[in-house]
Amino acid sequence: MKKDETNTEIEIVIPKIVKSNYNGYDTLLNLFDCVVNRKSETVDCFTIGFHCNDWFDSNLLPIIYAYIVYGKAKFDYIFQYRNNVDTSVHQLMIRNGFAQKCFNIPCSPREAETIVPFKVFNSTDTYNFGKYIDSEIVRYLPSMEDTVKRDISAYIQELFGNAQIHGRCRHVFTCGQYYPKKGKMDFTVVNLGRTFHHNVTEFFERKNEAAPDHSVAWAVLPEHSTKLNVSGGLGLSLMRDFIHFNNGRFQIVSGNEYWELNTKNEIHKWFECEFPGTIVNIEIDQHDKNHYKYVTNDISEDIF
Amino acid sequence: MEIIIKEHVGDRATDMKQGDQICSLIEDAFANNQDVILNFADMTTILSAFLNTAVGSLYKSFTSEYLNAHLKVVNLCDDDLFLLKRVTRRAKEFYANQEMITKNLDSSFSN
Repeated sequence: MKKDETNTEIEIVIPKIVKSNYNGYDTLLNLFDCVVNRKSETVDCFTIGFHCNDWFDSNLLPIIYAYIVYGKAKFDYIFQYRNNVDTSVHQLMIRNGFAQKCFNIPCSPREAETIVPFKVFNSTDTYNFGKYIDSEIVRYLPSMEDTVKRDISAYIQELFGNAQIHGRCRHVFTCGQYYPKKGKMDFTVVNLGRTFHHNVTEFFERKNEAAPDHSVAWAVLPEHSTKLNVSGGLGLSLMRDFIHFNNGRFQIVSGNEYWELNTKNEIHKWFECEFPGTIVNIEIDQHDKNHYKYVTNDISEDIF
Repeated sequence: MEIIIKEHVGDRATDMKQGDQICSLIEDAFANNQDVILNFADMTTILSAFLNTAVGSLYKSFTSEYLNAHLKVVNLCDDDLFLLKRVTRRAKEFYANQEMITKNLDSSFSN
């Protein structure tokens, strides 16, 4: 970070490589920590610069947007974008609509597009979020069976529902990117609501029980829910099961907690800085040709 | 009485409020001694958040036996039927547990 003494402005320089992994999230949480915790007495404007950046997973752009929204709302900070360099991420931000939403630079998608547009949804707008997923995600999964596509769409919509119900947030920010060389599609959903740690700790306090060490790791297990008046606990576990069989990747950053499920293992970690909400990223293997069938021990004809 | 879900919440049953709406319709019908058919024809999406409140909440007031006898589900595909069964299994445990907690609290207050 560079401080310009003459005009109370700080430039946040995005480093050379930022990917959707622990280090990538850690980098962003550290870089933007200056807009989260306390109002600076000397700085009122932040310039975001990508001029040193060679690679930025564009599905992570909603994280930057969340920090901009947070900094503006909490401390009245001004954010601007150093767009005097023509980097590949600059082009991506124009293509996926992020630059338009953030910095009024008109959106200009390509003909053969690989982006899932950047969007901001009201957290209650489950209908339009569903339509967005069905039109923008499903088209990158051409070789999968229709029933699998429908299920993936539903699992992603469950993530949105979780942000609404548990995060109690007003808005949800989303963006995705299809990586043709890897045959993978990454999609990220971000909110500035209550963190997993907040909800899980409160839930266990009410029960007079000790809260688990890692709230996200607890919450992703089947039938674990912090809802008090209604049953639940399926949304996250459905996605977890699917990602396991799809050889994909499922990551959650909430507060200072990091949880990841990948093809090899499950990772629980912590960050030094806290994200003021929750980031959920899923990576789907686009070439998955598995046939999925739900298996149950319950052979009863009775549903109830 | 037949409740055609799409007529009440559209083709995407995705949130708890929609579920509350359907749950109220079912409870009203039961209060009038009517059996209910839940018709899921032409639905694009059905999420657990919806089913938790539309159907899961019924276990607050009704037993499995009552629901199996008086509530029928039609036009639900296998995947959504599987989800519904998981929702009902979870709801049975949840509300049984709620009842136990309430009883324990009642007895500790009466002591």
